[in-house]
Amino acid sequence: MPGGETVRAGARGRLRQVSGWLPVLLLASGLGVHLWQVRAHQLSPWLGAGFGMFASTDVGSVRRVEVFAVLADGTRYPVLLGSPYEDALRRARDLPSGRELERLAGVAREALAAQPDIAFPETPRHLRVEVWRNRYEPGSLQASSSMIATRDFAFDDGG
Amino acid sequence: MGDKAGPWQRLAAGLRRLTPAELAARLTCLTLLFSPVGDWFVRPATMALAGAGLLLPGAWRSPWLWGALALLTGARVIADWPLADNHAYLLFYWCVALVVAAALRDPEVLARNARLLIGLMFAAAAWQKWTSPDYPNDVFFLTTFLLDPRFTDFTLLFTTLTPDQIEAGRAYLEAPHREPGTVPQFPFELPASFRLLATASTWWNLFEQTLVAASFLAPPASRLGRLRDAAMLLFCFTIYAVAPVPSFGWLLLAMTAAQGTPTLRARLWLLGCFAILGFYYEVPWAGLLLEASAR
Repeated sequence: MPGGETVRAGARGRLRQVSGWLPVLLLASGLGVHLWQVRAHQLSPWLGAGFGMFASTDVGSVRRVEVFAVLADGTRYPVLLGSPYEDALRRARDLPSGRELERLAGVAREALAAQPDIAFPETPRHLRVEVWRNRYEPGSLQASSSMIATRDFAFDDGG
Repeated sequence: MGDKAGPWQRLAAGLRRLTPAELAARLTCLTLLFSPVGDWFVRPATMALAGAGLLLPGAWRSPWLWGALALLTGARVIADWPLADNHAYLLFYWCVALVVAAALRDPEVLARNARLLIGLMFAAAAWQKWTSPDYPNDVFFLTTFLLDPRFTDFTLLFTTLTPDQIEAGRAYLEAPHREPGTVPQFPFELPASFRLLATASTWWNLFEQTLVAASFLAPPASRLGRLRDAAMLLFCFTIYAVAPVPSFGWLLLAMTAAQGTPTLRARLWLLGCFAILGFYYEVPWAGLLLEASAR
């Protein structure tokens, strides 16, 4: 059926045309996701397919992630996470979205559960995750730190 | 005549015979071999495929080879998201471009994708710098030259800073500073030579990256478009002398080969630049000059 052949040939031609632009579409999508993550979740501009490397002082080495066990009266105990938790720490530092902070809180719970000798005066009420970054004044390089993300998680969440 | 040709003539003839697509594909394979990507589960496979692309006759034009490499490099950026370096994403897009061109058997598609990927990537990089709150005012380089140990020798070579000052500056910049009333000042007066180096680096980078973006996005036959290969060579010769990421530069040169002028002279410049990036990475030239100047 010649009509059907023509339609199929036309569809193949269009597919060829579109597939030729696939790499550029991927780059544009990656850039869009990067811009959204920077605005919505404080992704470090260096990361995430936005080609913002070497453009901003907002880089991992001047970001800091801190995890605290918080008692009912507000007393905070720092939870120090070592190298086994480096990946979760790095992800929360560079992309402090709710999901990454929750993942870090989960590994912090695991770390505390693995060290029963760590004793708090009472069962903590929650875990707090804070992410800070440094900024620098033009000219003087006077530094100041500001919190860019924080979230509390119930201490016994996730068992 | 062929028998009497010396090694130089044979090299020149071989280089002339390569199509832009073949040169680009072979340089991409070399890049993957010189600078293997991914974790232990991706790395051996990418190296084996890159080796096959170089050694097996005609393998460089196989959509299966590039399809496998696109899958592996794509899996790597997804698994590492968002921590992968930017050139990991570019490598993935470039492997997709090679698959598409190989499947469509259309080298023009590869040339167009090379131009657009480079142009758009540099446009994004330049735009991020122009709009960054701490780039055009020099803060980025004033802090990066102190914070990033990869630039220490370069900074010591071209400024009057001492190693102790760099150490003190780094400690200050990395420390938490949470109470504005009690924040100490920066530990020393920034010397004029350091400020000058930061300003020169800022504006050189802005100029070069904007030029590369504009020349690759301009119509290829326009006056600006015809500058694109030279702009890329200038970028690679200067930036990678200081920034030790040759795999990014090698990838950019492979992409440039896909769309560049296929003259022998242009190709020799490109291959010379490819080689010198390895030299920059393997030879700590700034440290050696620093030692020589201290004697």
